[in-house]
Amino acid sequence: MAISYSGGTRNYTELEEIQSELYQDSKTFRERPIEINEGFKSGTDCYESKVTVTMTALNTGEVTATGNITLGVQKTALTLVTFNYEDRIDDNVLKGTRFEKSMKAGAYEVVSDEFDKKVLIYITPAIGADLENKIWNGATSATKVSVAALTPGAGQGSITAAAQTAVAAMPTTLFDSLLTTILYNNSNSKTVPGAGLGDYIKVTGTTVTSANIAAEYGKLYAGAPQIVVNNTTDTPMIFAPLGDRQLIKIANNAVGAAQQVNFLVEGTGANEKIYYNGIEIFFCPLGATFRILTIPMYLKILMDKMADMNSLMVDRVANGAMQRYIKNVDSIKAWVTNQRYITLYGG
Amino acid sequence: MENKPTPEELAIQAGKEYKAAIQKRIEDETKAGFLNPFGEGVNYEQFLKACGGKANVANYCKGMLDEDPTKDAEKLAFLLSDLKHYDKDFPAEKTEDSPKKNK
Repeated sequence: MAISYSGGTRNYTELEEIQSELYQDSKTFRERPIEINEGFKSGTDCYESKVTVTMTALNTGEVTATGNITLGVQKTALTLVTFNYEDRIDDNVLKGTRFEKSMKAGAYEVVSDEFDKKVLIYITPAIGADLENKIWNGATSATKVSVAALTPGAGQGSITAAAQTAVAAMPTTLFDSLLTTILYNNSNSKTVPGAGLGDYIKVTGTTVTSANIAAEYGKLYAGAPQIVVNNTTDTPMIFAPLGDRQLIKIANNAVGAAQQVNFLVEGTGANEKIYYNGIEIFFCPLGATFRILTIPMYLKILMDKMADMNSLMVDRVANGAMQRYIKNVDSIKAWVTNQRYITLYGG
Repeated sequence: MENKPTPEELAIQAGKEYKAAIQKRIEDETKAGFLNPFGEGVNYEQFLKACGGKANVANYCKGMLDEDPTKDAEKLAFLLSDLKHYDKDFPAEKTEDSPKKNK
């Protein structure tokens, strides 16, 4: 007898794995190439010292006040910004989906164990990726106004107009990124203390391609202070945009007589390290027009607790609601010290 | 007894002296006939005033930015490129953070 059926059809199987978004690895927090300090609630003071001495001819008499030894210490008050990622979800909408199978029995029970394990679990990687982006690239609306108000120039002691444009185009965030802090900050340890342009060493830049990347890194390297490049206690590092990895590989592996291996590539995959003239390059979500060469400890992230970024509060909303809230709270301040030793390409 | 300045006051004073020294150098260079746009603390407002406007930048700077002709051309190319951003997004606008305009 022929089958007679009506009522529509549906698939009764599904691919086990739920394909997730690819998140930017929060490598800065994981590998900590820069200094990440924890334990601050609302703020802290940052002290910087500078000692200068002047040699004079031998004095066999009593030592008097000569002014030949200057012991300078400046304090800058730093305030952390606290922000959150939060929302409310209604698990009831998962009824009628594959997730229904993992809901407990009972009409009140609409939380899917499978949904939590396969979808909700990606909230913290997404937060990690967002924070990774924002510590390198982003500026508050107030800082954008301040940077835009600077009169640009080509030489040291001025921001380039291109950098101003880049800051204006950055994501508007709740705290200034490291890059923005290099460009503009209120440190009392600068040559001109207080709010204004940073004391960074500027190397003027152009659009970096695989054809000119070696030359442009050469300018960055040449522009860095000798005392930084020659430092063997705290070795310097180059912080470069993520895209430079591709440009470097393409430049290094160009086929033909023009091939020049300007970058040293060691290892592969997660263990890969790339160096320019012996200086390790750390790839991070910097704006494409910038590169930083400095001693890494001069770049600082202050936090209440680094584990906050992986801490997710998930619970039922009060008063019998069948919804859940999700909340993550973080406190961050990006800061830079010894600014006169930070070389910024494209600044 | 004379009050000694605090480290903060000394730092602020040093900053003022630094700014004044730069301003003096800019004025001297301008009087001498060529204000180097790559000089420390020189901003585009001062430079464009010294060279007579954007249209004159190439003539004003050619051969003056570096002894090496290749580097001179590179610097000029950067300057012209960066001034495009200045034209486009940041018309002359003064703030307290900007060095003082030449009188």
